[in-house]
Amino acid sequence: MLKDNNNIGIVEDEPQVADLYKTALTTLGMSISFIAGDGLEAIQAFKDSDPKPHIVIMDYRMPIMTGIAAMKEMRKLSPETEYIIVSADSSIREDAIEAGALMFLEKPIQLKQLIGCVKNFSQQSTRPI
Amino acid sequence: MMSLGFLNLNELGDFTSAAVENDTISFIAAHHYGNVFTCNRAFCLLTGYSKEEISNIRWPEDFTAAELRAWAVNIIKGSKSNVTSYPHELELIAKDGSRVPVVMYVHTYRDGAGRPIYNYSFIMDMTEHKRLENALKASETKYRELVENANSIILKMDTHGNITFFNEFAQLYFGYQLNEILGKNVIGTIVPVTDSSGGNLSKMIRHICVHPQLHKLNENENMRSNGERVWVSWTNKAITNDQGDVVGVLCVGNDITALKNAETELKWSRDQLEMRVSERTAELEKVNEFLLNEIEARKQAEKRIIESEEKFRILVETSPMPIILHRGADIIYANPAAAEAAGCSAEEIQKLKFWEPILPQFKELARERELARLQGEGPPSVYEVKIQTNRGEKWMKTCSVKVMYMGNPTIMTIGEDITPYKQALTALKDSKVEAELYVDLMSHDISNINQAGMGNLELLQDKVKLDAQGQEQLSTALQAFEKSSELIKNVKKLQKVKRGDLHLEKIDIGQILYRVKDDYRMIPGRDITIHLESPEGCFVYADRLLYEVFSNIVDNSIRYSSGSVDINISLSSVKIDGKKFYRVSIEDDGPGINPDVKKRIFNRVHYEGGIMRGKGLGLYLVKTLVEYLHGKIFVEDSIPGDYIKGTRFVVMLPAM
Repeated sequence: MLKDNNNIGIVEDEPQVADLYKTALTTLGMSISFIAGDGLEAIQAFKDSDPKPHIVIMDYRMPIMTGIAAMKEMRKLSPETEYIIVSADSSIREDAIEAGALMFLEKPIQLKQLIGCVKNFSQQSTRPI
Repeated sequence: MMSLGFLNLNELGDFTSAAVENDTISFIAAHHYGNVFTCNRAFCLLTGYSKEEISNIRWPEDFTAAELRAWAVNIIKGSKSNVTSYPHELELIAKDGSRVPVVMYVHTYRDGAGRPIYNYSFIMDMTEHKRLENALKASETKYRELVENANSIILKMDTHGNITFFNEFAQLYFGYQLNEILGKNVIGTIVPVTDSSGGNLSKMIRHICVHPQLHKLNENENMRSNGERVWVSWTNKAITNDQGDVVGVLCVGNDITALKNAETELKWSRDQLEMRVSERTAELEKVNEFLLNEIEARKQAEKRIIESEEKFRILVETSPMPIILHRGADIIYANPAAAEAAGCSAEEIQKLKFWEPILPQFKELARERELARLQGEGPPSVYEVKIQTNRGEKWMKTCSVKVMYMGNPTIMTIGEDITPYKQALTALKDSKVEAELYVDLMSHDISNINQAGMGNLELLQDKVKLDAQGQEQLSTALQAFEKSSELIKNVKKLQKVKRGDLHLEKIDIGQILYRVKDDYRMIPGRDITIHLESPEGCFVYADRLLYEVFSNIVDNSIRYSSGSVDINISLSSVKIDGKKFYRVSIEDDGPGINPDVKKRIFNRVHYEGGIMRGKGLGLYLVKTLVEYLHGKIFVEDSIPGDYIKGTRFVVMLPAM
């Protein structure tokens, strides 16, 4: 079981996928800080969240604002949160990393892979949010 | 009555007196120591005195000049014989004081004792004789002077050629003293035996001596005493005796050496001139021929120009493409197609400025470029503009070039209506954009759908206990989603390659291969051995998608084999046609690929038995990417001829 204070933010415009992530992560005992359907909504939800999520799983291609743009804004608010950028478009991998993402995962992700990444980060992270 | 017998003179009496009186020879008789007692008429005529006057004059004293008187007296009165033995020349003084030259035959009549009683003389008037003599003398003197002082060679030779006379000029000319040359033969002295050209002069001289009349004028080579050869022009005249026989030859010669030399030179010059004239004539003939050929060529050229002009006229006038000639702003010429494109008549279009039909957004561009071109600058010749015609707007592709027309710089613009092309291009672009949009949308949405499907199946797999069949079905469902995802990824990659949307950079192939090895060596449930031989520093100019090339091949080796599989990857450099390539060989010991399948393995789709197979894009993507990077890929059997023993994929990429 992971620590209680490992809460995850999910930013995904496809509800079924968002649900999938939520189900997979909560099964692990993680709490979901917020689920947002686009970048703007994500920034607001991030602002409103307390405590701030440890990790945000951020889809790249979303209406209104891309995941990387949202991430940049959210990092300004709280630089400690890490981001896993997810997209079917692998070409944005470099941009995502350069923008400060922890990692990039190409859709469709194997849940095992996603869970593995989150676990690794959680175990490495010692600082409180 | 006359007697027929011979009479002595003293018997003739009157006859004798009459004979003496009337004779033309003057007669005078005088007492030996006294006056004249008789004379004849001729004497009167000779002296100019009458008989009466003469009777009172002393003979010879009064008839002779003082300086000759004594001598005359001595001759006439001093003679001891009755007849002087020879005539005496004397000058008598006539009545008018003139001197009359005479010749006297003096007689003395003596008595029995021998005492002179009378003297009488027969006197011949020598005036004419003297005159002739003087004239002759003068002539002779003149002749002598002439001969001696002549600037001509004057010589005489006898009939044997021996020199009998050699004037002073001849002496100086030939360099001989008179005593050296007189009596010598001309041959060997002043005439060489043969002349410079080998002619026999000796024979010639002999002939002249014998037949001078046949050689009145003659030119031949002569020789000076020092051996110098000279040329003389001779005038030869026969010297004959009273019988008319030739006894010698008078030769008058003039030096013509300079003339001969001049003649020789002249001849040489003439020969040279003739030669030059011949040469020049030949040159002129050549030039003439050349000119004639030139004229012919020009005529041909003119003919060709006319033909060309006709061709051009037909070409231009009937061309469906607008063609205009413009200079500055003005249109000088527009073909019918141009007039039609502009929507006006041929006359009207020439009143337009060339940029007038062009739409505003292109007008300035066209104007600037064509004016710059006319100035000699080099703006782009080919560009596209839009024009307004009476049938709406049209896209025109124009090609402009500076030409010389009627001696003035002019711009020729040829247009091509590319409206359909532009429309097709626009439609194509729109289609492409739309297609890409659909691909993007679909790949995004399908990815999400796949994500939802795969993810939930994964959760189900963990949550629900299924029997073997159920597990298999679940696994199959998951694989279907994976394939779908893979297909989408490949479509996007293919789209990227086809679009040329690759970021080419310097990539180390070796590092890519090591990554592939690392990624595929640990596949759960499979015994995979990957051997890699890769030197360092093998760089190519490629996109990071290059990973997909090798990962695809290795993935296929694993996927289409079962159990354990050995994969050998080697990297080497080769030279093909002088160019360096890197050769990546990926060889497995899997089940191999059927030769028929090998033929179409890189195709996007293929049909087997009328059914479409090979829906995957993997190797098609690999081939497309390799070829985009100017490389090659081919497949062969690991063991040649035995395809079931494994497959080898070879990728060749240009080295950087």
